[in-house]
Amino acid sequence: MAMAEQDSRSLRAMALAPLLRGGRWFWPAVGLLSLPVLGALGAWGYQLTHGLRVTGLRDQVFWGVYITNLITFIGFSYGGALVSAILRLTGAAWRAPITRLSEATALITLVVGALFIFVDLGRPDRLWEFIAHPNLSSPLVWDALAVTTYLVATMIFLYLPLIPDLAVAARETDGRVGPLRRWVLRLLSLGWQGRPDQQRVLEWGTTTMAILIIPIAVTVHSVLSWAFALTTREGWHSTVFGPYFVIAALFSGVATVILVVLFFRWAYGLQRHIGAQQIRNLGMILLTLGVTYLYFTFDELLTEGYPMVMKTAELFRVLLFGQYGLQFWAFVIGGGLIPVLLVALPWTRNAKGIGIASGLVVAFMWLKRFLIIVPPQSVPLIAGPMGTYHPTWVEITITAGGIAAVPLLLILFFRLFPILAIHEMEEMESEPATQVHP
Amino acid sequence: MSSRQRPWLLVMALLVAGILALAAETAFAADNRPAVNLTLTGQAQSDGGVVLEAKALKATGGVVSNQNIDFFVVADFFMEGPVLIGSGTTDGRGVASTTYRPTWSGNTKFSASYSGDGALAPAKGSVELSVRSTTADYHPAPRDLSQLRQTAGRAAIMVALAVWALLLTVIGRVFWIVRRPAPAELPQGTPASSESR
Amino acid sequence: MARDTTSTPEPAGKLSRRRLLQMMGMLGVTGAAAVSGVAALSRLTEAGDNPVPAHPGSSGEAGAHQWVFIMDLRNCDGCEQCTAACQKMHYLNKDQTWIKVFKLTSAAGQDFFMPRSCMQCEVAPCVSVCPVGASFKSPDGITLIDSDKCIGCRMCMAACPYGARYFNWTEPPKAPAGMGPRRPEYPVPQQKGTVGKCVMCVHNLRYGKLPGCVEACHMGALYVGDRNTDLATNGQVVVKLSEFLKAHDATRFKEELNTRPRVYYILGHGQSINF
Repeated sequence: MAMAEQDSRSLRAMALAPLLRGGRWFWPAVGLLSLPVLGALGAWGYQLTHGLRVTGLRDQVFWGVYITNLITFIGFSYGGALVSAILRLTGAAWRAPITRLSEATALITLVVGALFIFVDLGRPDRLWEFIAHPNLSSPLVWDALAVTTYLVATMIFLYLPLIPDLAVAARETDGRVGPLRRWVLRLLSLGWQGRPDQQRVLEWGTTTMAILIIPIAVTVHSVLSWAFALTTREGWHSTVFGPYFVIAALFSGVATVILVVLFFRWAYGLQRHIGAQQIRNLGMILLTLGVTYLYFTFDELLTEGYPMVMKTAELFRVLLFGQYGLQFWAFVIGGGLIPVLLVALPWTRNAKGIGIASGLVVAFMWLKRFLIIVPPQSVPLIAGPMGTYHPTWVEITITAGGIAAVPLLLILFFRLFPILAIHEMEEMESEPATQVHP
Repeated sequence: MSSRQRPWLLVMALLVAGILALAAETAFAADNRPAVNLTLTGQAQSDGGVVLEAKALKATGGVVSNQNIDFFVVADFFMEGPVLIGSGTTDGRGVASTTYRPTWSGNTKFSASYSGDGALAPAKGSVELSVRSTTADYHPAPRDLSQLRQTAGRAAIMVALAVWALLLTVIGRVFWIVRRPAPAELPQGTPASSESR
Repeated sequence: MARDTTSTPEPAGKLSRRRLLQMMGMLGVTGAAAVSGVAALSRLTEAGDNPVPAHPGSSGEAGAHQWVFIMDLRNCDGCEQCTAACQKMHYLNKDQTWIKVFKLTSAAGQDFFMPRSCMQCEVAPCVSVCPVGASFKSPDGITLIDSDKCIGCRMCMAACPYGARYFNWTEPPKAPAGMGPRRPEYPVPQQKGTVGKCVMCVHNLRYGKLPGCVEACHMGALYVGDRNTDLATNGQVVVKLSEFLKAHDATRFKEELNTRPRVYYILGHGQSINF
């Protein structure tokens, strides 16, 4: 039974509303979010002129906030892989209203994350060297391969279900959007007509991408972890780093998707389609991944800590009790125990509780990546004092720009593309077993 | 002699006696240690090694036996200096020898030295020989499983190429089928799951 | 998930053959691309465990020597003249201690000093991980950096177990004109945003001059040696390298990491550098 005409019309209206009318907060929001982004660009220009000395990095701690941002933001993109790919393959129909939001978030956080590589390089003008003669033994080359592959895969995965939606958008907004947007919508919808052969190939393509993107995603964060694990530094050279980083990415990625979903649901009044079921299920996924991540953290620390060789002792002293002790335990409580409790306990398992839990996770997972990256560099390799690292205004400004860029790009994205996956949701409705009841 | 000149004469006599005694002392000391002649010769072997022979003979004609001789090669390695390459004890014929395997080719100066003892004076001898290197250049030995890193890199490239081929196939096929005009053989009235109309 | 499986737009036989050809074509293209890609890119994996041939532009008979370094900790008095001489010779700033002297304590509670330069590892981790192959081994055993290729990612700094690499966080001190072209063997002046380290003054070695630190050490604690001629000198005496190392039980730092360093340490009584 096809979706009732009325329901279909209301779904489309809701999906296309942000496209047609940004609302009175649209331009103020864009303006406000653009300020940190412009500040970040200015700070980067300053850094290019004066060199990386304007950061807090020095020869002992040489990777800091920028690399943390790189890992964290790429980690945020895993929400898309999880919600859109894994849930699709497991037949979780409830995900349909949030796939567009999660796929868009995945792409945007991935792009912003990848940009931090350039900010961290001493000589970004030499990028051609990287392409001209890469050293295939280097984990960073594998990183570049993996991230670009993942980027293209995410773009394709976002684009394919968008094709029929853009055809709908082009038709239904005719006369109500400017010529540029109309042209883009028509061009990108590829002349979609809903023919059976088109449906079939789209279905095939989307399923293939869902299957492909999972090993790609697992590879990407594993390879990112290997930039640390393939050295011999205490605190980095650990065999658990591959899956450790992947779980971390999935954990923080789901939290990011929850925040995005809650925000746009509120901003554009999508409560009718994104309801308690979506939020509750995402919350349960967050809980599962949170518990898993805490397990990995514990396993990592126990394995290193039990034999307690000399260098480990120095690291643990500073990580658990010293310079970084406060941050570490703050993460365990604020990024681990509290979010898990908020979702686990029935009386906080609602949109507000899950939203707070996700916000905590997003913030503390940044801190956790920082604690993985910086303290092992503080431990002297031979002798001497512990290294210190204090991020400067340049690093903070550029980070703020990155953080602001994500909602900015999302808001702009949904001015051009439908915020709900119309085609997918209508497909779902036609099969009673997969009907979504928010 | 007048009584005024007598003290001066005494001093002079003492001085002369002292000088004569000193001279006699040194002459006596030098004399007590007979001079030694140390002759150094070298013989190149067929395998490139050099056998150095030092013959220690007393200047008076006797053989110097059971004494230690140090052999040196004079190397020019950022500075010129003797490098100890071996030692030997002189036998009944006064000959000590050592075998040296040169590590470079060319005219090379060798020296031998006898440090002397209470009974004999120290001596040195030298010889210049043309030598040929007997050692191969040092090459770092490869580590076990040294190919591991390169293999990992090549595997990464192959996997990436395969994935890219798949990605391009997906997008290419979707593009092609979606963009092509409706195939004529499509039967009409197919039960479409949803028509975007 | 909706799936329309009830209609077949073309006769079954024609479709499956075309499909088959499509798949074969795709596989063929993929296979050919993969094989040619790997073959073409195989030469790029050279900077793994194997040394790369002489960098173009190097001069002096590189291959005739195999340099090693020896540090005699019995004689080092921690004066740091080696550090000063190196920084002067290469126009470095105060932070760039390409040779750095550490103060350690022996088991008996006595202070002793350990200079640490680049270990010139035969299996250098920094060479393996450099994404652009800017770090490479010269034929005479020195690990060099081509600062024209370096992108400043600092992965080599992460990989070096000895902390021997230093980054140019800002514009380095200017060198006077007429120093000759900057090249990996004589990386002067340094470049902003790239990494630098001790090159064992190979620019001197190949022309019969001692490294700056060896020249500056008045205690004669630093020796440069050549495995091919089996000689070593500290500028005051010349010794037979193999005998010298054996007689004094020379050891290497962090030997268990299997990097095969070319810097040997001679330890005094009670001194230990393996911690």
